[in-house]
Amino acid sequence: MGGPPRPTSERPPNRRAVLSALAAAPAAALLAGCGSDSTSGGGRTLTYNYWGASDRALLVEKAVRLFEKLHPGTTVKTSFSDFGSYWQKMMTAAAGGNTPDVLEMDYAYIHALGDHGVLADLNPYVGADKQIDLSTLRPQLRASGMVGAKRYAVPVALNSLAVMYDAKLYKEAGAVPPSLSMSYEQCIHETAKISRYTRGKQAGMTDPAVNYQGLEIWLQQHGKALFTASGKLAFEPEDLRTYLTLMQKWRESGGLGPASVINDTLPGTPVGANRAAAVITWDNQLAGFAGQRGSALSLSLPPTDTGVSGVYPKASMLMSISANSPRRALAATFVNFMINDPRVGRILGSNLGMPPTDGQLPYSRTFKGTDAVVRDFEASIASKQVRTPVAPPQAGGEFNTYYGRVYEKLSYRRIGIDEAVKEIFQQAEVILG
Amino acid sequence: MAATTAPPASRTPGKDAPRRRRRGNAAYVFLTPWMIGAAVLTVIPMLVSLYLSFTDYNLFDAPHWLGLQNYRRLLFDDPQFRESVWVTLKYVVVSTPVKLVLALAVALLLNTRRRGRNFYRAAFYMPSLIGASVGAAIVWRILFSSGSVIDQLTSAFGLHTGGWVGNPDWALMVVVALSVWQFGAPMVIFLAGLQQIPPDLYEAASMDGAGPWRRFRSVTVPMLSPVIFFNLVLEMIHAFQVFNSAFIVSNGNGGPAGSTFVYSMYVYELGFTDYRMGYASAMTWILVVVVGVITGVLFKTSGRWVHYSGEVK
Amino acid sequence: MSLPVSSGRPGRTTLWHVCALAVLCVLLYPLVWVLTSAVKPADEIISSLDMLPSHLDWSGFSTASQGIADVPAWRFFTNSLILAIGAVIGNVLSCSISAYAFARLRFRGRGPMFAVMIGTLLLPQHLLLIPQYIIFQKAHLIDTYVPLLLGKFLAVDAFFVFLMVQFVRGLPRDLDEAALIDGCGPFRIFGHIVLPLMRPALITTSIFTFIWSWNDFFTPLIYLQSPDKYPLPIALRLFVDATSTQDYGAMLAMSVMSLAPVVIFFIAFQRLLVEGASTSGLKG
Repeated sequence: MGGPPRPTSERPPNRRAVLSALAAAPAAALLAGCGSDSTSGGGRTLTYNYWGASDRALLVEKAVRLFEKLHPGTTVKTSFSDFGSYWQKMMTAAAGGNTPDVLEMDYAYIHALGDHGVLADLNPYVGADKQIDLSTLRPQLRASGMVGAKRYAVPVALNSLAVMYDAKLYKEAGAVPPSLSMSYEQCIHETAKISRYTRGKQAGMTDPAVNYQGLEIWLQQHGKALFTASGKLAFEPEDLRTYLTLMQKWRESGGLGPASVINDTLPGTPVGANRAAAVITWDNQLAGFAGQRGSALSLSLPPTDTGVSGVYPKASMLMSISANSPRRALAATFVNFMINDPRVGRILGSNLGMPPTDGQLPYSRTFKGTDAVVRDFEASIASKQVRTPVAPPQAGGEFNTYYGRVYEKLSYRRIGIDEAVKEIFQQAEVILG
Repeated sequence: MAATTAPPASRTPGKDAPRRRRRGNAAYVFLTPWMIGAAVLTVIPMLVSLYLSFTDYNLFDAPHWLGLQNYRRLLFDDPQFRESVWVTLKYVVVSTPVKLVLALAVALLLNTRRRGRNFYRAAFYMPSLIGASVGAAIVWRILFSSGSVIDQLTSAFGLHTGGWVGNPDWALMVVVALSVWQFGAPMVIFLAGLQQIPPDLYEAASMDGAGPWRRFRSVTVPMLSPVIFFNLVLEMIHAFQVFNSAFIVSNGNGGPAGSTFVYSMYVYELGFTDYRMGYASAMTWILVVVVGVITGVLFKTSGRWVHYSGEVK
Repeated sequence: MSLPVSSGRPGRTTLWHVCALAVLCVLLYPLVWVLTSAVKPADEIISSLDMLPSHLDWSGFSTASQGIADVPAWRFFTNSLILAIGAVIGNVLSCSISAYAFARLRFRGRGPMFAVMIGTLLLPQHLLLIPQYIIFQKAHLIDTYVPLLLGKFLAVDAFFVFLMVQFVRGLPRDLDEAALIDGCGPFRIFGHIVLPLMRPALITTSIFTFIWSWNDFFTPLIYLQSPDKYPLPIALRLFVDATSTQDYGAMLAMSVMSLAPVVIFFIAFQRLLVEGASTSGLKG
């Protein structure tokens, strides 16, 4: 751990030594950047990796610089990449035992890394007189990052699935936008109006069933769940059949547009490319989607047949500390700074999601534009959300990919519902072990 | 081409034994990098891969011996494996002949002494160099998307795909087209082969009253058969390993509806996103065996149609 | 079909040119399309049938040159260049000495070793992918350029070894036998006689190595993870992903930037390239 900085030389430095030291300074900075624990002279260095696009990087870097200013002698060396490469890199780093001191964590990877002993249990660092203060953590997030009694991660932001829709277009088409008070039947009817109004140029909604999020919402609306605590499927083939039949009806009504739209607009999205008027996705992505679409989008809850919303508060990003980091206490101080410091809340806005603690929450009052829309939406749905489900198993992502592929075949009418249900359950057995 | 026998080394007079030994030792010095490379990057990895294919290695935990379980699961219990095999076979069976026929046709066109043939030869070869790049695949994806020039063109002829890349019946054809576009490599090899055919054979055939088609059938094809065979084997081996174009054209997911989910993409996904290294290794060994068997069959049956002696039927 | 001998009749020559030009137009259409579309206004890119833009729009290039994720575009360009040049140096050095030994020196184990070399030529690269990855990962070399370059310095590209072996076999032996009688050792014979004579093969190798390395997508995709180390192809894909918009203008501008060096290289060396490809049977 970082002791006080020591002079590099015992003898009083002469002028020449000072000059050469100055010349060597950039080299020293480079060396420090390599992650060597340079407690002597160079201060303390933390390595911190996260994922995102460049807009997020600008904000996070700002917060990191503030931390460095508040902790003189500490350097935070950051590195970021897009979600896919980030996890590829992190998994290899984890297998090789060279993860960074602090790493951004996703709900889906807590098991993958935690179960292999890569992540430090943060419990020893949590408490009023310890480095991390979780006393004002928003209640919905309490359980996020826990695996059994161990705390492998701390939430940095809160988000939720929501319907993002073009309110103007819905109004023009005389269609009622999706909401909690709407049944799937009604929603199918209303979204089809958009497709008719735009003569097929825009679908009423992007097919929500292409990944397992749509299925998860529906399951939770019916008091069920996607995965059990032991990482198996928590629903029956009959549930899946009912859901897929419902979605088939929706697709056939024209409300979801042809199956090819999603593939055709890759790497963009149908909503971004103005080929669908609504989508179910994470609410903190509002600014991104509206930017791609070039017009304002509103937020709402998905339709339901049970009165239950099926959406839950999710830690959109978490932070973990490597079990083998030699600077875990300092890392914990940094994590605390990121979740509790009000200034960080102001810097990050709703880019990651809503602030995770009461310490940062008041600053959301100053949010403007899409940040404010997300804030108001989150505030309005808090009482309607269901409980956060258990973290998905390690192979959850693999299952999601497989599910998506089978669903796509279904939506292109390559296979029937019975076959899809059979394939998904058969492979789930193999994939989830 | 790829002779498996070593080339004759220099005919140093045998009497000078000490000097020869010195040259022999020098050979090992010259070959040190290659020997290290062959051992560390080829032979050892091959053995490791073979071993891993019988285990459940996942990069984190020590590998457990599974015996033949990976192979059994792949062959009998993995729908995605079966689909990727099917997609890859379709790709190989369509792209290889189309590419070779086009390469041969253009080579025939360019087999002339007219001025400009070198210019054309070079220009036709260019796609072979850039076709493998991500930039080209991205262009391809855009060119075949809905509302694009090609979509409009084919729609005008009554083929309404609604965008080739979003249509599972046609998306693989975009990948095929990208491969066929790179016909330049087999073309220049055909051209070199065509230039080896003695002109008097054609003259003799003409004397016998053979028209262009007869001349092609009875002179060109037999004389060119070793080159055709070489191109066929090479292109087929490459086609089995297709990755880049399918990956980019499908934006990394092998869609729509798995229609471009080729073998290598499944290997990549298993190995590098799911970290099922053992399982993925088993998959690569199956590919090696299959490609090896097909190549072997081609060699076996080649005696019936490949004429090495150069005699004309 | 055409005869190997020009038939001299002007009508047929015109027909021949028409045919060749027609094939050429179809073939190079995507290239011309990407060049003109990169400077088209956004709404004309996809569906406009006009070859030429209604007015020049450079916004794609300015977006693309900003790079991604705080890494400027020139950085990707430099990375690609470093990798390509490194690969060229490695291949030229290692393949030439290996080829010389195989082609000219007699030593114990030459036959089996040559067979192994030819064998690696036919081995699907995917087979080695996973174990090589594990080896580099155990050596903590992931996210460095070592996995991408090491093989080049160890003559792993058997294509080029084979190409050079064929070439050296075609060289007259008189010179090096004369040198041998003068008491030159194999090292001096290689350095002073064979290597200079190998120039055409070395140039072919260099050009192909450069272009293949420049285009390589799979290896960096697997081994590199930090955006500031990405070469152009990966950056191009990340760019497409990270913006997650259909900014075709910028995508095409970046494609043009990545294709341009290859096209320029090709125009400069086309003769050598095509000869090289036809004599060695290389896969382009």
